[in-house]
Order: sequence, then structure tokens, then C-alpha cells
Amino acid sequence: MTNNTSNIILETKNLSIGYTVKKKPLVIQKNLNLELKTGVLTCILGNNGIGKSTLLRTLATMQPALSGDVFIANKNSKNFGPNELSKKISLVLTESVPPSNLSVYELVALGRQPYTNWLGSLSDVDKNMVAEAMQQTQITDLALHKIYELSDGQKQRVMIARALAQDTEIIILDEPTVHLDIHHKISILKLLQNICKTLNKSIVIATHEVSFAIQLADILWLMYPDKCITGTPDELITNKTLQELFNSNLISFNMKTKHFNINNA
Amino acid sequence: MGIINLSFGSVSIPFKEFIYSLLDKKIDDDTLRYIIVNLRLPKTITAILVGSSLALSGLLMQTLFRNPLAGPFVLGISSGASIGVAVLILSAGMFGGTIAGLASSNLSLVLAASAGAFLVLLAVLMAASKVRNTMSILIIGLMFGSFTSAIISVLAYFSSAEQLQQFMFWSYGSLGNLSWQELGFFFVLYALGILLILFIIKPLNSLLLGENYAKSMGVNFKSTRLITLLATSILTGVCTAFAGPIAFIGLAVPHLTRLIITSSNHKILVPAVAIMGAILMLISDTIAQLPTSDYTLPLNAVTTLFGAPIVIWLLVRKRKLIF
Repeated sequence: MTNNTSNIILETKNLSIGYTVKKKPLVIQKNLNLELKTGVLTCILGNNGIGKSTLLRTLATMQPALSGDVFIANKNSKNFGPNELSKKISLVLTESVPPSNLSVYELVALGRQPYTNWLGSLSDVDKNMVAEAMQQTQITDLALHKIYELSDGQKQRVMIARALAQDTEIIILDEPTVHLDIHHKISILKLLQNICKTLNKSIVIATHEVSFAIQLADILWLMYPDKCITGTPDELITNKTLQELFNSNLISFNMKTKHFNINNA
Repeated sequence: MGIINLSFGSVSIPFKEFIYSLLDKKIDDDTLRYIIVNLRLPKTITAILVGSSLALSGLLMQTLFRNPLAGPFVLGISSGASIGVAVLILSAGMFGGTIAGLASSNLSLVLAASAGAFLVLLAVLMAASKVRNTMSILIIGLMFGSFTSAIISVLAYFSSAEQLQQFMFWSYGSLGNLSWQELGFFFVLYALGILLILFIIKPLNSLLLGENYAKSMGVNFKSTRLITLLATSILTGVCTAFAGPIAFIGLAVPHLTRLIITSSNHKILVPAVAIMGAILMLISDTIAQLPTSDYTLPLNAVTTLFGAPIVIWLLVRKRKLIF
């Protein structure tokens, strides 16, 4: 699965994630020792509230870790300045973008901000990167449209194009396929897989699409209330870890079809 | 627009004299020349500075708070200026003597307003450094506003009719009464505010995607927020100090501009909003002069009479406010 050219780009050491409530730490997950490699598509699966978004925010250093460290390209993330970090990690978040007059092109071009001068003027290199990112995500035709004219699926592609334009080794996406129909869900996930392989990027997706994740991801991170187990989809199916993901008697995992099925009582 | 604004006033001035005095040529009537050079020209320049400052402040606040109804006054800065002036004018009655003498001078009004604006600014900045949520700053600003108007009511209750009138005149807003020297001071602060804005054009653009995306694209959010608040405070504070609390320009102009030039890019928006603000202020002031009559309307009444319907029309027409 992991080929020889892939390197570790992000590593966590004894990471505890969570929040500080009334000056007391509220630990959501602890002792996380995870790693991300270039050219590898990683999917995070787990119940609602298990800490997927918290983990992503901590990896992106938008939220401080309770304890432990995140190393990005062998350097502790605490030692990164905001601009330096933005050249390593780009994000696609669940939050919707506020309404504005921005055109698709302008929005994708915002991804070049870490590289542009103080006024944000685009150089020829920047323009090429933006054009390439838009081509990769097949939104070149939409360039002059305003963001509010787009469908949800198109918006998601634009946000991915922006992350691509940011030219980072790691792209983190929090539920990128939510609100989309099945066709667009698959097209977005296939697009991400394609980007991951052709551009040799490390892509992390938190998702609820278990069956798609099993088929597309190279590595799965399964988050349980007290632990996080990683491995390839096949490994996790064979050792039956995946079956315990949703501790519920409403569904069961079918190992042959690699699907969760609804239990008929 | 500036020329039209210059040419209107309570005293009608023949066109030839008007041009000559601008070009610094000799004309027969020294009084007319004095009116043009020392009264009307400063007033026109004030209008341009005030209009563009308030409009820019509105733009900054709307982008920072991602709230289409934010304006320069939401931070409570103008309320701060008001309370400075109110304390000066209205407390004169209680203490009499020296304070009463102070209250009658123009410069002390400006100083009081600046001090009030600055104190509120400090309070807001302190709150801003403690509070993480940008929306909370908006609400804190609004609370400062209500708080100060309550204090002003109390002061007003205990003061004489004459002092109340003086305070009311200040709160009507006026672009006149600025000497060239005061204008110079105004301009220095204006230039400082504009300079600060130039440095945040880029982060403001990424803030259009929201705080989190902006951070992920390398924006130092805390310092951007600080510079934005600082620039707004300087621009609004100095305007309010010199011209009184002028309503609606800050709120309405950014929306009008975005309606005309359909862009959200601050590289285009900043100059466009500044020009639009200056033009609207000049129009408002020209209307307030009531051309061909001897009367002058309160400036605030004019901006509100035009501003309020514009905002209502925008809300009805667009449904979804874009910023």
C-alpha cells in the first residue's frame, strides 16, 4: 500500500486533544501517535462527537494540543509561524463561506496568499498555479462566476481548488462530501484520490462515508471513545476492528461486501 | 462635486470671483475671497476627509465582523466622543467658572471628543484582546454605545437649556468651523489611518472566507484585527471630534459601492469606497446648505434622511446582503 517513495510528512507524539473548560482540561483523545505520509489518502472514521474535527483542528494547529507534540516535516508545529505553516497545510472546512462578491477565480487565487507580496498581487507563477488548480478540479469554465451562483458540489470543488493553489504537502478536509448527492460525493472523493496520487500530496479526510472510505482510502484512522486505531482498510476488516466502530445493534458489518448493513430485527 | 459644493453657501458669490479666489488672483471684494479660501475650501476638504474616513471605517467593520450591518459606530467610538463633549459642555453648568469658559472654545470640544473616543477605543481594544469571539466585540461596542447615551441623558437632565442647545448643535454634525491648522491635524491622522489600511488589504481579502480560512492561509488574525480596530478608531474618532457624530455614511456607502462595482476585492473596494464616501458627503453637505437660501440644515438630518431609505431599499431589493 505505502510505496517506497512516500515519506512521513506529519507525526504526532503522545498527543492529547480536547478543550480547556474552566481551566480544567477536557480530554477527548489521548496518547495519539499517528503519522501522515505523502501520496497517501487517509480517512478518519468515527461516531459524531468522537473528536474527528478536534483532531483535524489540532493537526492544523488551529487549536492547541492539551499535551504532546505535532511534528510537521520533522519540525515541531509550535515553532511554525502562521505564514510558514500555511505553506505546509491547507484546509477545507465544513463551515460555509460568508456571502461575498468574490468570483471563483478570485477565491481560488486567495490560496496564493502565503506566497504573494504585501498587497497580494499575483505573479505569473501564482497565475499558473491558480489555472492548474482550477483545471485539476474541472472548474475552469466557472472562473468568472460569483460564489453565490454555484451549487454545493461546485462550491466544494472551488474550495478544493483553493487548497490546491495553496500548494501544500498536506490537505486536510473536514467532511467534504456533506450535503452532496451520491454522484457528487463520489466525484469529489475520486478527485481527491486522483490529486493525492498524481500530485503526491498527503490528504486527510474526516468523513461519515464509511463504505466509500473503505474503497478509496489507503489508510484508515478509526476513532473509538478511548483509542484510535490505524491501518489499511483490508487489515482493519480482517482483524475485525472496523466492525466495532459503531457500537450499535442497528447495523452490522458484512465482510464480503465490505459494507455496513441495517439489521432487520 | 467638490466645486459645486464650494460654490454653494449662505452668501451667494459670483462665479468669476469664485474662480479667481481659488486661483489666488486679486479680486475686488476681500470678504468674498475670505469666505471662499478660509471658510468654504476648508469645509469642502473636511467633507472629503470625513466622508471617505467614515465610509472606509464602515467597510473595515463589515469585513472584520462579517456583518453587513456593522458600521464605524458599532465600536462605540462615536459614543465615546459624544460623552467627552457632553461632559465638557453639560458639566459646565454644575461647576461653572473655568469649565464654562473652556466649553465655549472650539478646540476644547475637539480635545474632549478625542479624549472620549480614545478612552472608549482603549476599553474596546482591551476587551478585544481578552475576547476571542469577534461577535462579542460587536456587542461590547453596542453596549458601550447604550451606556454612554444613558450617561448623556443623566448629564442632560441636570444641565441648562443653553448648554443642552450647544450639545445638540454639536450632535447635529457640521463640517464647518475648521481652521486650516485644525485641518492639518485632521489630515495627519487621516493619512495615518489610510496607511494602516494599506497594510491590511491582503488579510482583509482572505477574511472574506471567514476567520478560520484566513488563519489557514497564513493570516495573523490577532494583529490584523488590532490594526483594523486601530485604523477604524483613528478615522472615526477624528471625524467625530471635528464634525460630530455623522450617521449612515459609514453603514450605507460600502453597500452602495458594492452594488455599483460588483467586487469584494479590497484592492478595488478601498479606493472606491473612499471616493464614494467623499462624493456622498459632498452631496449631503450641499443639500444641507440649501442652495439659494439663507438656512442651513443639520448635516446629520440630511445623511439620515438619505441613508435610511437607501439601507431599507438595499435590504428589500437584495434580500441577501453581500459583503
